[in-house]
Amino acid sequence: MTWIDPTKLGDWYEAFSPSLSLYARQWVDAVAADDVVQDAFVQLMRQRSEPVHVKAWLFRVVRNGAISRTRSRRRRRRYELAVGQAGAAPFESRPDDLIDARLAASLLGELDGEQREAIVLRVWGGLSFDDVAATMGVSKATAFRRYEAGLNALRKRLETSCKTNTPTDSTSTRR
Amino acid sequence: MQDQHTDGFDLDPALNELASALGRLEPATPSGDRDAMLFELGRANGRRAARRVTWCTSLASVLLAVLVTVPVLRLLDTASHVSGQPSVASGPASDAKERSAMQSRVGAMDPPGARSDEPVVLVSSAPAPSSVFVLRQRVLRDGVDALPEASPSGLPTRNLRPGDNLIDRPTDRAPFERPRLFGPTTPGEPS
Repeated sequence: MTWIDPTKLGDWYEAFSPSLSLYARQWVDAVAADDVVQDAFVQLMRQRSEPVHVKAWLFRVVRNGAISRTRSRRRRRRYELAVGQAGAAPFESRPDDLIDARLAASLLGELDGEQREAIVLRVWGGLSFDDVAATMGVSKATAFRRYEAGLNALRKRLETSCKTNTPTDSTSTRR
Repeated sequence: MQDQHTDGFDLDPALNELASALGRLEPATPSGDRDAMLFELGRANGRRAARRVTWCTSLASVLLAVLVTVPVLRLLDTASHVSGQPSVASGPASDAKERSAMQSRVGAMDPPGARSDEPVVLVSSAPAPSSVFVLRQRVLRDGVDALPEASPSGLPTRNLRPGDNLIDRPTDRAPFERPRLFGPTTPGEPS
């Protein structure tokens, strides 16, 4: 018996599944990430009452499901390193993007796993720092520090990337 | 996607700009669409419900089997205790007159094809409680004289059936005299 309206479930799926799938891809590949997200919605459907904060609840369930799928620490580590470099692109490329989608995915993949998790939860999950901290199982201050450090690391890498590309551009301009 | 409030933490404006730029990137849509997901949800729910129904049916079957078996076993046990084994008592009647009288009494109960010389099968059962208690009272009041006479050979003089009157049978014995245990004895009597 379903206690949650299926229409609501469908709306939530449309709204949250892309960011949930992106979040799950930190631990598993794209196909498994979609399975994990679907399992999370099946679990949500089985709830007798609607969770207080559905989005945060879904992110926690997806995290647990994805981590349990990795089965071993080594495999988890391999996925963490490989994220953004293998499988389908995690972002949809659009012409009006301020940052190139593939570059962003690549840079995210180079980040520390905890920093990347905080950024994904905050930027694409749209969670508050309270929810980010609860999902990651750390304090709010720790969650903020990881988020800030991740963004700093991203900025530095973006600057490095721009500096690396600039001489090429200038050279081509000179020609 | 990212909201601008920082939950009480001060973030560098440059980092905020970077976060906003990152937030404009759209995560790739999962392979399944909304309808496919709802279909999968329904299927998973149906599978779960079917498992639950199967489990409930099995449980109900076991309970019903127990509920039916236990009373039947109890009934069988009680019946075996009450009836016991049928006992056969046979023996010659004391005389032809008594036999014919008894046959005339039990004739109505015999099956039509039964022979008169066949032993009568008596189902051993307790005598009617009223007779037993009346006999007991009489024995207490009148002594052992009130008991029915036993046959000399130890065999019953006739086949007894449930409901036979054991109390008002005529006796041809002299009344029993109680021995005097206390009191004066006559001079000629041995003590």
